[in-house]
Amino acid sequence: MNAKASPPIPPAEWIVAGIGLVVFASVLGLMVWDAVAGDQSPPRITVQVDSIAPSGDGFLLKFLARNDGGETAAEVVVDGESPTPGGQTETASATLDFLPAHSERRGGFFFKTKPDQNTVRLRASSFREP
Amino acid sequence: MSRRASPSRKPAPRGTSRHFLRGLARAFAGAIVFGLPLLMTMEMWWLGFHADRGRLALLFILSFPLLVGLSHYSGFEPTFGWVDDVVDTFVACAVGFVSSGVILLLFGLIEPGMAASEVLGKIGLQTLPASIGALLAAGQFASREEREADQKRFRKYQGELFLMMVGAIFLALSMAPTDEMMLIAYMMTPAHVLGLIVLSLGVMHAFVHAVESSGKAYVPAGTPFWSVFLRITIPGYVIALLISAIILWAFERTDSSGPATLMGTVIVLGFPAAVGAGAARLII
Repeated sequence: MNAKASPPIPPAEWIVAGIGLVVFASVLGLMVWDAVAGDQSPPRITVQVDSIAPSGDGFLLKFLARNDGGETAAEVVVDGESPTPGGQTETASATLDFLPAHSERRGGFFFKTKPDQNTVRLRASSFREP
Repeated sequence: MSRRASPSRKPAPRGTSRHFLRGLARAFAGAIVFGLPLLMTMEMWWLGFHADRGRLALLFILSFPLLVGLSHYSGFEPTFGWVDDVVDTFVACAVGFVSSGVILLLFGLIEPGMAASEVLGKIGLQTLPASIGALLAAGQFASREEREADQKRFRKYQGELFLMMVGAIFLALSMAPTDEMMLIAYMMTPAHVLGLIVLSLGVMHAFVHAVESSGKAYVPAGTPFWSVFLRITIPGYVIALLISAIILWAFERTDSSGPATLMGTVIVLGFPAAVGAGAARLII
């Protein structure tokens, strides 16, 4: 054993260790903050029209679902109702596996007639606690 | 240490940045090798956003002394004191975080529109196994001299038990997030559970015996069966069950189950934990 005194820690190691410290502290800090002061409210889901475009022999309506609540929702069912010029209503539904707190997920509906951005009704009808 | 004949093949001396960068490359390799099974487990992604934050924080806090201990016993650089150990631990955290983050990003699991809590939760959870990998596998790729120095430290009793704990955590962590742990526990009768306990102890003792006869173990070869069984195998199994219970609790796998199912699940996960504990010496 010729290493009696410990060799100095090279500058590169200090830098990487510094990054590690920041990473560790920020992940731990965020988790503690979330646990203590974080939002614990039930899921609050809003669904918006993202885009409407022709697709195949019909139309594709892409939607954006957003959860503003503090808890994650699983198996979120999103329903869409589009009134047709003939006075009837076309319906479609989609299931999102997970919609975490304060996050967004996207999906789409296929309609036979062109949906109108102003009259189409989108909403989340159910979810499950993960 | 004796000087080699070919000076051009000599590794960079300790304490230089070049020597450190070689260690860093090893650490990245280790983090990916050990982290990949969990990076490709979808339950881990989900736990990243819906797991209880308080429990994850506690898991993080508990893992810190574990990583420091691992850095002391193994690690990608031979360490000389607690400052070195702590610095190495933070290096391993950085390596674990960066490698997990890059891989999750490439898998399309981190996207705009996700909350900071979701992104950091996903990466942070994967950082734990990846950092263990960074410290462990770097030891795997270490030179012969360095490995021999490590082996010596493990020959103490607390070193032996610590190594068993690391092995148990390692294997249990890879299995705990999956639904199969609960499913298996539901299907087992008390007779099955008892059988699994016996098998766990048997497999563990076989590993302990194999290590013992290789001359690397804390107990010298020729120690009577009951002595090794009581001093190594039984404490090792208790450690495996404890680790299994802590991990299941942290991942919220135990919340809605009754005491019998709970015990069954702990013993089911205790099986891979026991195998990991027993095999630790052969793997690490």
